Amino acid sequence: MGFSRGLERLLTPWLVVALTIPGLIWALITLLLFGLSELTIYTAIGAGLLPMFVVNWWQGVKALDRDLLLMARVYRAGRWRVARDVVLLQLLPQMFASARYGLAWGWKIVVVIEMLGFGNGVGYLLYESYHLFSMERVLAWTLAFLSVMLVLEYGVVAPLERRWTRWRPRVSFGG
Amino acid sequence: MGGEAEMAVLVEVRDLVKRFGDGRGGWLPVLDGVSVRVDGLVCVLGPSGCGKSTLLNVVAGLEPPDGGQIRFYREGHRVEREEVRIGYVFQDPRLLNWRTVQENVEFGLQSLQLPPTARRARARAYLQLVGLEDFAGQFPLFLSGGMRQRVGLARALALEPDVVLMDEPFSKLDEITARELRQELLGIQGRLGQRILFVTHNPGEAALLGDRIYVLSDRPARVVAEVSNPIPKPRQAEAPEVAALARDIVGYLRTGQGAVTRRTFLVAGLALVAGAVAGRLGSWAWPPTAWAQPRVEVSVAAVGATGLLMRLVKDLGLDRKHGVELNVVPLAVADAERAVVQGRVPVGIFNPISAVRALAEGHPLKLFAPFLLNHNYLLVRAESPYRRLEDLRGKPVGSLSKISGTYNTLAAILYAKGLGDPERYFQVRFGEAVPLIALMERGDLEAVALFEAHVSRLLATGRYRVLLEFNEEFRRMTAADNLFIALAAKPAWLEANGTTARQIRAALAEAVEAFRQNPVGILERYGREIFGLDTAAEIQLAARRLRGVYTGRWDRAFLDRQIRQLRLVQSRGDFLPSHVSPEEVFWP
Repeated sequence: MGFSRGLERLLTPWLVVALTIPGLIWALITLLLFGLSELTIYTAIGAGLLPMFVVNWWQGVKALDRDLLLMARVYRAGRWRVARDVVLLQLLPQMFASARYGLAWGWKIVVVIEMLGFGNGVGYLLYESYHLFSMERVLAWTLAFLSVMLVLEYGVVAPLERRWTRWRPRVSFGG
Repeated sequence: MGGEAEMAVLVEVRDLVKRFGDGRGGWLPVLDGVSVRVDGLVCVLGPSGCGKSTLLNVVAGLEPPDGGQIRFYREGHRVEREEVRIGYVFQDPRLLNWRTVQENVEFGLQSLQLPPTARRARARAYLQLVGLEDFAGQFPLFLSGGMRQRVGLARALALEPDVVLMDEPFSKLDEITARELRQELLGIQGRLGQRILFVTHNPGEAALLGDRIYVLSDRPARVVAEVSNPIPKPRQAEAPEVAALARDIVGYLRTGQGAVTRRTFLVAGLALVAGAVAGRLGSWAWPPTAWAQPRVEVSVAAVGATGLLMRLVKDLGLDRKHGVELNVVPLAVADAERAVVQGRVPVGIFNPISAVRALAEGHPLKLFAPFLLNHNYLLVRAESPYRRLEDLRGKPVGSLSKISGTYNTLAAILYAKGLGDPERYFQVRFGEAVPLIALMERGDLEAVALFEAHVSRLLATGRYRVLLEFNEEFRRMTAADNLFIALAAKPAWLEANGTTARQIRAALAEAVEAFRQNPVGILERYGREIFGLDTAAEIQLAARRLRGVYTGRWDRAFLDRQIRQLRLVQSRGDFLPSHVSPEEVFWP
């Protein structure tokens, strides 16, 4: 996709359908299919994230700078060099965007599955707290959830992104 | 120099033809038999967009030729393009921004399969040549445009290419940097003796750099002149010989374009003849409506009488019948007027008073095609005690937005009666018609200024009555009908599109006539959708009230009455500044 027009025409309607399926539905389907197992969680996350990733990459590939590809052809760059130096590194900002999105979305799905069927995990505990009318516990679990997300963002994703996009001048506003 | 020259590669471009699809199944010729010989620093000069970059792309092998040949010779023997090292300096730097300057130069060297240390050393040497050795570890986006262009130059030269293609490489740089780089290029080429095909639209640059200069015509490009540069090296940009040569080249450019112009006239002439013949063959089909009819966007209030008029125009095909295609942009009342003032659409249906106000605010507008469309009323609940406008002083009154015709007319009446600003006279509540009616039903509003879209429906319920008929009030005050709508456009548009404006006016006048012929039938068809009329009784009532309301008359007496009326409104208060002359509004 992005490279082949025929494939794009073939896949676009499916992609649109896949994108509109709410995560909850994936959670329900995989729970029915695989029951209360780890497989349920992985499949639901995978099924939900795949169309998002595909769209993100597709748009990225479409936005690739064609002039750079021509430049690579003039200098007779090998396939591997083109794939890595021209395509992949150009898509990197896009990849970070989808990684962030995927991380957040995946966590939400896990919480929903835990709520629906599992006897442990943040989702289950949130659900339990809700039934106990315990606002404190609902908020506490939400906060715990949030802090894990923040640690992941600032501890893993952001430093990686900074390292890989240091070639872009940082624009500072009002400095 | 002799040995080097023998090793050197010669590029011969012969009768090169290149066409591009025009997106409609046809072909657009770009290069029309171009022949160029690259045996030194050769410049190709042509106007922008004439196909110079295409020439380079074909030579580089990025695009296949549609005709002609490109041949490479080394030591007099024909060689394949793959055996020739080609460097390309693009118009933009085309660097990998995520790679350092050094890595970018090395990227161009990979086809040489050098050991890494040798590759690094070579890249570094050429960075030094272009004066960037201190920036080897930087990322391109941290460098200036001129420096980035130098990196592109280093990348091309580091390959130690047989041929360098240069596509206006200095055209996007400031003149000082460009001069510096031109001198550098002359120096480098003098030392290394590369074959350079340098494309430019700058005659001075060509005269300075080129050993030979080919001048291309406008598209489709042909070589109109081939000039050998007699000026000895080193050359200076300021030298009078360079300037003189540049002048000569410009002369060739002109004659080249002149030839093309003549050909264009010939084509136009043929088209005219063809058109005349086709016209004979079938006059009904010529000119083909698809492109003969101008398309004009018209903003119109989607609801109410203006909406109905436009629906009639479109559904009866009256616009096409009169030789224009209207693209109706249905908007809210206020937006339909603002769209024209702000220039988002050329023509709109306007209230004349708001047009005068727009004029006073410094947005010139002219009105054409006036139509009487008095269908605004001030409604009160049937049992309310109010009899006259004056009874509503200080009371909550609903109105459509401030820029709407309903509000403007109400304001004009208040000013004419010496009562002043409606917002000070009433507690005006602005809103859409339906919420305003709901507010009146609830008792929050004592009266609502409304248009016919809703008046007949409300009156049919028997719960409301008319306190003031704006039309009657105007006739009483001025002995003339209130001009309610007119087509409006900016003066410049009208001046340029007089015929189109007349066509639009004719289409609208016919729609008005169609309504007058058969108001009941038309309201039965559109009444529910546009006026919210449900029952036969409501339709009958509205038809009776709307009959005779539209008029398409357009004579001097009518205009004079309108102008008198606007003057009257204008003479009162500060609603309309007195410096606006009503004649300015109308377009004869």
